[in-house]
Amino acid sequence: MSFVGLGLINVRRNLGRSVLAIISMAIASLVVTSLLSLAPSAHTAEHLALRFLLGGDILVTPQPVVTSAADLDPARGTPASWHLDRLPPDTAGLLAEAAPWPWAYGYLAVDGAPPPLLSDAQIASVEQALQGQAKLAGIVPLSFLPVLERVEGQDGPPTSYVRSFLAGRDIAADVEWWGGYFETLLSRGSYLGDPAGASGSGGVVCDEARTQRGYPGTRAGASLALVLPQAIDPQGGSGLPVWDFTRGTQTEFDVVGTLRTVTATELTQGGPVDYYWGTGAILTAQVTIDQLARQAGLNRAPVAGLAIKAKDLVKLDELVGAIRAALPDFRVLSVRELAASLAWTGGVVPLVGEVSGAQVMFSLVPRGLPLDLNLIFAVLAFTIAAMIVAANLLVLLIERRREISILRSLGARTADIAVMVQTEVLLLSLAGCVLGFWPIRLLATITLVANRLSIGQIASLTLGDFGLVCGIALGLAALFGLLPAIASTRTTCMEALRND
Amino acid sequence: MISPNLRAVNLTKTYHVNELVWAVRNLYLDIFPRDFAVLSGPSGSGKSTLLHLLAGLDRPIYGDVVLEGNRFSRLDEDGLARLRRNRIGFIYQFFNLIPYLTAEDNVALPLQFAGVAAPEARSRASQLLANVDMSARRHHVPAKLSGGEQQRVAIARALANEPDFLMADEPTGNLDSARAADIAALFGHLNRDLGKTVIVVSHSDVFDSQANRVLSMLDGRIVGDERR
Repeated sequence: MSFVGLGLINVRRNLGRSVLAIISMAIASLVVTSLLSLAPSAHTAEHLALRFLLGGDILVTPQPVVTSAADLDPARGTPASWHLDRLPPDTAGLLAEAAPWPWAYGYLAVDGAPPPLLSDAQIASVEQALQGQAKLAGIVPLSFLPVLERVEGQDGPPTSYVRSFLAGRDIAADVEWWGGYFETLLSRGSYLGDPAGASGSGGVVCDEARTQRGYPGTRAGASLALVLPQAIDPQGGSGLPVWDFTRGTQTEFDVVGTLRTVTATELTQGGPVDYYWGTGAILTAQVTIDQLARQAGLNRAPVAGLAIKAKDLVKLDELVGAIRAALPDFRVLSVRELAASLAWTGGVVPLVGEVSGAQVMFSLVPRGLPLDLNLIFAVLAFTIAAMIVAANLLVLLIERRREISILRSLGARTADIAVMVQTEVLLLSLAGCVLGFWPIRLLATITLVANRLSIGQIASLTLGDFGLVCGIALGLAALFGLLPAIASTRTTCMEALRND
Repeated sequence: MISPNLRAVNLTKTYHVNELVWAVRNLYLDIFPRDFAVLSGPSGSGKSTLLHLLAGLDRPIYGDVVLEGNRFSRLDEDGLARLRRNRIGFIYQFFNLIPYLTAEDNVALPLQFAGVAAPEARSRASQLLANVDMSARRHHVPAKLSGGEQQRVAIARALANEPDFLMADEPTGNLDSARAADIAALFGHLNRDLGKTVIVVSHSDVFDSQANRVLSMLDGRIVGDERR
């Protein structure tokens, strides 16, 4: 009977304690695996949805985007006053000056700030700065056109129209990048095709969550009635267009598909918040939006930002860093950071004030304490798991004191005892690791596959993380497992036998 | 002139049990090769403590034990373990067998501690059990063995690495007189025929016929050394 064999026997002999040790180690490794596997908000698939909505992995915008409370610090010169833009119900004919962010639910605007648009010169400067960047797969302009949307079943005056926007997409790039996902939509007919004027033959894809609460949801096969504005001042005072909806033209589109995006708010509150979400993107083809822009009096659709495609997500943060260095005057955000910012705001702008009058004032100061609950959970889980493991080992030490003393009286050395105890502890820890790692990692692998990582990349990431989790768990277990062996050398055999 | 192979030099051990107890007090003792020594004396006279000190299972507060030039005080716990494994076979009154191992595995343990491969260790353990008439019971765990059988297994285990010294603490204390006589005869055989140096702590006179020395203890001191 070797010491390894003795360890194995002890695993079987103390089955209850072994199971408890395995469970505690499984919880600890599950927490580590979760931290390693998931980007912020990845469990809600938000970053995946954002990739689809953005058409890329990195967003480049011409002005700051609010992603944390620090962005609203008046001491840093950023305005503390923001509003969620919305068409006032009694002023439907007013000129709409600003455009919504294509990736956000609700239009978050800094009071008095210029509209967040990119000029041709800015686009050219970005493209020039990123030339030769090896990890970059492509740059997609995020074109937009503000529209008024007639909600299905509401045949009233323009006051019943809600404000939305068309986001232009490069279909060839979509197909190349997203492959089967958009091909499915394309196979349904006229996805993002030529609108043929106002004949209603064009198609769009909508975000399901964009519909105002109380109205029918947008669904594939529905018809979408939009009012397209005229650009009364194509250059505007600041080189940006000003829109006039009073001379708008109505166009109908077929909704040929829907995107479903899930937000933390939906998950935690059980449904959309009780006010206008409003400005989720209506995706249409770049050629379509450019044609509509020409109808509105522009050469082409305005650009709200640039979506940059990375060659793979593994080196995304590295690419973001390189782009930030190349574009110091722009705000550069990865989909992970956007997902995190949406998680922070709950997917929408947190509501603090009351709805009053034509404009709704919001504050972005988070409610409650600005704590990372995931981190707190991880720390708690680790603490509890460590306590259980430590308690187990203490029991092991007390239970085995007599046995260890007998073995030592027969000539076993400290190293021999250590091998016996370590065999048991490492076996239990390894079992816990496997149980804790693989279930959560298999779930995460679905996301990796959806993000089009290669099998080699997934295998490399997975095995690397498994090695890390096992290394941490087995390393800690080995450290704790040494205690009984070391403790056994501190007393003579007879002292231990006498005190037992 | 034969020189002693085990010496106790000014050996002293105390315990604190409400008050200071001198278990072994300034004790000098020479044990010679092929001695069969019985430590006798009333309860609390220090017999078992002396035996534990001589086996290196316990440490004195001062004084030393010297086994063929090896001073125990200069050895760490692993050094003492190595010495016990190779030179001393120890038998406890309550056997101290590993409860979840079979008789054969219990006997094989010290062999494996000494680096003998598992199959070879099992084979030799089987032979050792045959020597103490325990072949038929070698696959039983201690709970399935009688007191006498457990003691035989403990003796086989003590002999596994062919030690020069065999030390036993009340080895017949839990046995009936017939079994006790058998064990005593076995010890006599080991001493006479195999040349083992035997030191036994015993209350009874069952070993007297086998022993060549009877050491009487009182209050932690040897008060009599009867040679036969």
